[in-house]
Amino acid sequence: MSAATEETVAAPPRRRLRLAIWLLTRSFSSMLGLFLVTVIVALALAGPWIVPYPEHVQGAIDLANKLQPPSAAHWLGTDEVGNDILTRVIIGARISLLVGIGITVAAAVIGVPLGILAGLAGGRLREVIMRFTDLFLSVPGLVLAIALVAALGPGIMNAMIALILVWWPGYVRLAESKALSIREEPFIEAARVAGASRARILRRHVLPNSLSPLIVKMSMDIGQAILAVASLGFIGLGAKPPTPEWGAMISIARGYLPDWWWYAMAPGVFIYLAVLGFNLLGDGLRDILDPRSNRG
Amino acid sequence: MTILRSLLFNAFFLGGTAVVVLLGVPLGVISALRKDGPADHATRIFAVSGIALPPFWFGLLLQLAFATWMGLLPTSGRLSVFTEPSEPITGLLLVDSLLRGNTALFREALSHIILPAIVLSLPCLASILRVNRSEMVEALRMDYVVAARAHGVTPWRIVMVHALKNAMLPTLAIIGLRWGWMMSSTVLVETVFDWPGIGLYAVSSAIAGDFKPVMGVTLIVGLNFMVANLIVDLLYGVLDPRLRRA
Repeated sequence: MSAATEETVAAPPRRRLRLAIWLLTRSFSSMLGLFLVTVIVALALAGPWIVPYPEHVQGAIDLANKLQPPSAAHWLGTDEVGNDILTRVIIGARISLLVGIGITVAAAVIGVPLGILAGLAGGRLREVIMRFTDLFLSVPGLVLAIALVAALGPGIMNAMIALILVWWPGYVRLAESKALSIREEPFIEAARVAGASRARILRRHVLPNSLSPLIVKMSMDIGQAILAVASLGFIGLGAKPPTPEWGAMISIARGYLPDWWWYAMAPGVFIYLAVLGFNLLGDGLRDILDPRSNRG
Repeated sequence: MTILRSLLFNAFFLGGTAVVVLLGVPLGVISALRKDGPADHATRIFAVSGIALPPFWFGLLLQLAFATWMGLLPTSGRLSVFTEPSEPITGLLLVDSLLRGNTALFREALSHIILPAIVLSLPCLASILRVNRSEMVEALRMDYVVAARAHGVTPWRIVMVHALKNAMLPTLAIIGLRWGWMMSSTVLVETVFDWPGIGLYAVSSAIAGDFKPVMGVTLIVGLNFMVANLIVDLLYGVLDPRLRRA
């Protein structure tokens, strides 16, 4: 009996997955997003083995070749100390992706349990958690992050910590509203009547049902986190040169601007494509997983 | 406090706000009316790009294109270094120059805010456009739109009154949110355009490790954000009679 129920429960998700994949391939913008994300992830994974000048990653000095325009030897030109820009941009993908995913996952790990707790517990505990969340949400993210980095000191680790602190409240909000609406569903009541424990209800019913908006939000947020880290790097509060971080690279390239303009192009294009990819993918996933909510 | 007050009068921030309000909603409506047509695809691509383009890099691109290569607009700052700014009345160069009838100064100040205003407003414009479009598409599918059309209401009135009024509620929420964020992205735009405003002030203080100015700016931006959301909540009541009683 129990095996049979397990099977009927398991079959629809598999079919749903096939439907989801089919829907995803039907949309041009979703496929473009998937393609961009795949390329960025592949570059990040294979980075150290495919870059043409591995010794330029941490900043070698080759002044004879500084600030060269794009050529066969240096596809995207060289920077002010003669490092190959293509090499540094590819390694930059590694840093940005790692930081972007790190921030998003950490924020979700902090925010989601708090949100579900607030939604299910209700009462005074909910009030405390939600008001504390509002406190963080009352200042726009970038300014709060700058204030936090100013307190912690510049650097990529501190920028990451600051952005995690800025990012988690969004997940509390999302998980709380999801938990609140699911709590009222008849199947939760049925499970409770059938004698399921609180932990089981949470694990088997509440969490799987809040998963799809969570996946969508995380996909969008990875892109936004990459942008935020690059922004902090650009204003000089994030990664420090010679770390090949995209924002920090643009910040230096700015000083060489009208004459050596190609220096600033490559990192900017990479930020743009990475953020675009995660946004399009998130959009596509939302259309499939969570068609009712359509907020930009 | 005086420093903050003098820095707060930010012309390109106001310009950006104007661009966003004047363009975001109409573009969203047009896109929704021509759903899946070329205009719709164009605005959607524009909207997604607007959110993904790093503002600091987009600013550099515009500087290169319009200032360096075409020579149409100045690169950065509030005025050219050779122009002597007049004694402030309101602190806003645009208003001051007009009050004094100094059209040359007015034109110069205006040419300096164009690029920063575009860069600042783009992400905000893009997300308002997206929300407004999807809400309009939703609203135009509603039964009351069909009913209004059956009653012979003019298409203009259906779009502007019946559909847009309902689509404006979620759009307003995003305008409030994004307006607050726009103020925080002045940090990036002012850095790119060397504009002496609160954003650049906050960044230079943060880099110097001077914490008090950063706290002041954070407070002001947070306050602005809260006031914006309060105004949005009040406007909700104007648009939706059901919310007036609550």
